[in-house]
Amino acid sequence: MTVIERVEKAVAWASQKLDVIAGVALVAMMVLVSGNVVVRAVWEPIMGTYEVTAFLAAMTISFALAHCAMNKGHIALTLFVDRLPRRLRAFLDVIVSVLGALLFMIMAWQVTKYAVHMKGTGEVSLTMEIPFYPFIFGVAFGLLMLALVSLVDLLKSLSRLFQK
Amino acid sequence: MSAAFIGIIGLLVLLLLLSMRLPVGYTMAFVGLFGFMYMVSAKGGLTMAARACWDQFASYNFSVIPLFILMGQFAFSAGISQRLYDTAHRWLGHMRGGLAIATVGACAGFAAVCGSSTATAATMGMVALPEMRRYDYDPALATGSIAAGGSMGILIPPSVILIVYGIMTEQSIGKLFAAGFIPGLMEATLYILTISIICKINPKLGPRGPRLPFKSKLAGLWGGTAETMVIFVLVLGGLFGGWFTPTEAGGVGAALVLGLSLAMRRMDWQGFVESISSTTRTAAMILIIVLGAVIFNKFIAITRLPFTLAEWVVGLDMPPMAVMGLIIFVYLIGGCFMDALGLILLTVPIFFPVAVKLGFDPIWFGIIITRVTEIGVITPPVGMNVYVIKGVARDVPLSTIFKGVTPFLMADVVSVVLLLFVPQITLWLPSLITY
Repeated sequence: MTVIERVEKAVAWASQKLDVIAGVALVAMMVLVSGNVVVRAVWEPIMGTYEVTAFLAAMTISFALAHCAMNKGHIALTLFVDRLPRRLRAFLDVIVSVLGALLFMIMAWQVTKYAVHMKGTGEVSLTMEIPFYPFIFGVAFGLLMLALVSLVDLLKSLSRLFQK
Repeated sequence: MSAAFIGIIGLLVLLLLLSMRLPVGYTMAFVGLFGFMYMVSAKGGLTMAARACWDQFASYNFSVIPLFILMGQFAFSAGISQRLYDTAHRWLGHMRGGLAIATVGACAGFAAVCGSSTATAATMGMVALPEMRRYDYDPALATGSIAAGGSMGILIPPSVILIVYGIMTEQSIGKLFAAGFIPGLMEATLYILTISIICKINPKLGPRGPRLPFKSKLAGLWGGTAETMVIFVLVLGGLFGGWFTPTEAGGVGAALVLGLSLAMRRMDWQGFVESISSTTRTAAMILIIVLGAVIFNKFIAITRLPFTLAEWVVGLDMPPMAVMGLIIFVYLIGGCFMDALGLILLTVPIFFPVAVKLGFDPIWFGIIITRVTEIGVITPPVGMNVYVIKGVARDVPLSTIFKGVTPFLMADVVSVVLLLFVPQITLWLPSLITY
């Protein structure tokens, strides 16, 4: 196995594990939201449903980002590039993966800064008084994984570019 | 350099990066972030992007998207589409082109639990195509009716596109869903008419099946179809009646479909896990586009490009319907190259102020552009549904599928014209919602 394949396998493994957490958050969200409707009908609303749903949604989305990218799930326009020669296509792929990695490293860094800021101010949710910052760190981690997937793509397209 | 000019440069860079195959969401976020940093300040742009990311991902409003996708995925894994098709087959199979008509009917039914076009086309393709082959249907008619029928997925509620439109333009999702309902039924009716006319001209294209006794028709309703329709009525009724928020409608819908499929013993652990995993993947795909659009729109708003455009268009003193015609033209062309969600997210912030300034109803405008982008999913070169069907029917050439789609495009033209000139089709049902 080449180094690139090993790195790819590790990133794929980690993003798959994250996706499982995303799935658990999703099911929890379904149970909480529909449970709240039932409990509210017979008794009174479950406290904090609104904010916990938002936290669960954040985990569902952020932890699924990398796995989605790993499976080429993010929609792109392939129409124009598909007709280009192989070398040129590899060159464009290098640029695209650099831009993707750059973008999500910046995002991960900025969201981390935001989490640190929120930890400092000690902001908590309205009714349950759950602190925001752990979930913001979670989102930052998901973005970092997404940047890693772009880096793997970069390695792969570089090797294609220099392939004979 | 004027701000609006920078906005136009931003749009051009966006198109360039898109054509290089940078994913749609990444592209919008990238151009938006750097454009904002250029216009305002580096620090301001970075802070804006981080806030936008947390606000979109941790949003009660957007949590509706994964939940409605989950409902559709459960229905898919449980083979609800098979049941719907079986029922429609029993009721309509004896007519001319009956199996194609049944396909459209089953597509409409599946669209009622599923918010996506491609998912509807994929699932109905697997179910209906083998049947139509068995009865020797013309391949163009068979594949065309599935591709067109599947496109109803984004108009008949629930609809991911309408949810996103509603959140972006601050319109009620309940009203948008209600507004999509009759146009969706009208579309199904027009498709059915199209099939009848084609098969009347050339009966060999869609031979009749056997006529079944009424008892057998009635029996076909149970075991999936009637239950699905009850769930649809409960979920959408709860939403229209104001008992549920859209998120609650999605959560309840997913739980009910899961419950139904467990009760029918049509869901095993593997199907459950697959539903969850496709849902998280699809939700991530959608939310990254939403995030990109939000960041891009912050930049575009600062350039004031949409408002400049709106004022310019109003200053032209053209009849509003002519402007609407131009907007539709942009969506038709755009829909040929871009997927529906990306197109709507990218263009709504630009065209919405124009539409409002011209005095169009925001709900009506949303339905029109959704209906028009739907046409894009079945036209070349990037007709998503056509490629999805090609994936199921590998031996049918793409050109045959596109040929099969052509008569349905005529039906689409009729329905867009009707929606444009008879706004009541769209606005009557939402006008009954009073909350």
